Amino acid sequence: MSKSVFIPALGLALLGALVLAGAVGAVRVAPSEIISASTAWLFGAESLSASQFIWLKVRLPRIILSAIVGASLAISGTALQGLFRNPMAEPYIIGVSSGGALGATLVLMFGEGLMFLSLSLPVFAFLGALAATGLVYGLSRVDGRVSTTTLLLAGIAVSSFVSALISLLMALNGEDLYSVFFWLMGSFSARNWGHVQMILPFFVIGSATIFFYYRELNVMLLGDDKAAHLGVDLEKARPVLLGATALLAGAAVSVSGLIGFVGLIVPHIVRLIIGPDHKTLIPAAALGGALFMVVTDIIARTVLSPTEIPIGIVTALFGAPFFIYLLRTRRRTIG
Amino acid sequence: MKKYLGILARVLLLALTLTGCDRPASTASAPDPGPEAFSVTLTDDAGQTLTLEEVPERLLSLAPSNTEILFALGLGERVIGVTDFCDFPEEAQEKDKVGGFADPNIEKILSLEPDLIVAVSGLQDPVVERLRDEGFNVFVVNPTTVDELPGVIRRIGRAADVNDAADELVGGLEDRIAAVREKVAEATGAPSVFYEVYSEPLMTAGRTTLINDVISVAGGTSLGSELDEAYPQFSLETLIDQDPDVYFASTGSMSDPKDIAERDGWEALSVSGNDRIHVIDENIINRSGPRLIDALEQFAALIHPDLFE
Repeated sequence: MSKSVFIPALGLALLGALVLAGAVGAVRVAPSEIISASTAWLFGAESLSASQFIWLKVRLPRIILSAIVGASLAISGTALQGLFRNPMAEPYIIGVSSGGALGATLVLMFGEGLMFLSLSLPVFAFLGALAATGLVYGLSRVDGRVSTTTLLLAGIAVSSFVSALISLLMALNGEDLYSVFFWLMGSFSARNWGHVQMILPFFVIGSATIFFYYRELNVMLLGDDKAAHLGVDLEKARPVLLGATALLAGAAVSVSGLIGFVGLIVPHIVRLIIGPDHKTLIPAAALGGALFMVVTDIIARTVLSPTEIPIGIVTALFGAPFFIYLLRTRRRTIG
Repeated sequence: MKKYLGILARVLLLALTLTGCDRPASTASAPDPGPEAFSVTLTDDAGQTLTLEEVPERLLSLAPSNTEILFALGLGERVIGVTDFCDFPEEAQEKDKVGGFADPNIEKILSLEPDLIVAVSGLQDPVVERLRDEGFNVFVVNPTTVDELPGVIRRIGRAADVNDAADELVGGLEDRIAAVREKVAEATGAPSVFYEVYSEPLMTAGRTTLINDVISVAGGTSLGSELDEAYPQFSLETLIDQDPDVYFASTGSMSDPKDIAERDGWEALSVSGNDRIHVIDENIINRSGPRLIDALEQFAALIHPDLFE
């Protein structure tokens, strides 16, 4: 499919998913209520009815948040795959998300005295994700190249170590033990506009930075030698891109816990359809990530309603088989 | 994910001391013991028959709820080991610790040479099996309703040869349960109740849990009572839509329960405006010991304030 058709088509599909997400939920909200709630929101409301409130203050922020998190994870995955020159790079698989979770866990456990919890949570998640990204990158890059084997091994090592640190923190803090585990499961349950505000600046800065470097990401696919011939200095671009991917992954973790595989599935499908040019790949992955997350969250919150399924389970149900499929079909090309 | 789920399951059980296993009918059938010859045969909540030919002197508790029962029966002196989580009564903290709830240290347990081990079912099943293989007397308790609690206490009392103390304790508890039932029966309806286990994600207690039964006996209808899962995530949309009459959270819920009314989204609940959000000591509602009846009385008084003035 050509780029000029695919991206608008993705945009339309996302729009459709957003409308569907707004229409369905544990509680039925009539279309007229949605319209009146929206106008109330736009023009300043008197008092909202319960269903107007549910739609405006519970469902809508959750949908928006899931779209932003999906886009963040997909862009982060796209950039990581370019940086590592490896299709298996994904924030969750290589331990970047776990690093973010460690940072966030520290804040949740010891951050009660911190002044700006809403800011310190994503900031610490970012720092944790950054440390994990740098570590995996340093460990897996041999002679300027990252093989799938070293990447996955380094990712496993870092993510196991970080998970062990999180478990240790919890063992030492029995009181807060179970709260963090629930949070780590990944969920958009009971999220609100505050969470949207919390992630938005990180999302804008991170994704804009990565898009700004789309040429460097393209050149990286060719290797450092060719990049030098083209007059592109990759050594400057790499740390910026590593920082931006960590920013996106950390921000996503700080509002929704650990959600895996989005950054793997979405860039892959998009790349298969429109090719590897990051100029179109990045926006398409953003739209695709948002679409995937909005749809999986619809599944998570409606299938067993009023019980909700943790969304990390839904994405893993889709993602893990896809990951295995990739490993099998692409074995020859990614060694 | 699988890893987290596994740990989640453990953690839930650890935190809540509740299990949702099949519950066989429990019967106690002790032959009238003579003054000298002690012999008692009991069936525990795991369906196992336990025969004791001698009075067990060295008692080991593998759960905070069991520890509280043993101390309430006046058996504190005979308790030789408890878990790390057994913090009530205070004297219990001075006992030897055998480790955590899900993973007590078998070596430590062996070294203490207990005559009777009081365990719980579910999470501790593998430990119980191991200890039975070692030849220990293990008694498993698993009350899933308020009305099963007296029977559990009575059988522990029988096993430890303190029938009189058990009768007295159980009699008191049964009277208090009956008193709550009597008061609540005067109510015209059963107010709807939401019990928050956790806030992000929002979780409640399902149909099979002891918490759900406590709410029911206390004259309330829990929003979780229609859910089969023990501790399901609950939709905030549904919570707002159903708008419960009373809202409970335990001290273990992650966000500061005092701030519940001010949470984003929660302002739409009626309870946020009328002071009907209550924070309950997690240790009395989550432990199936004598203090559960304290929780029952607190719940009843908070669900039906007009009846308990």
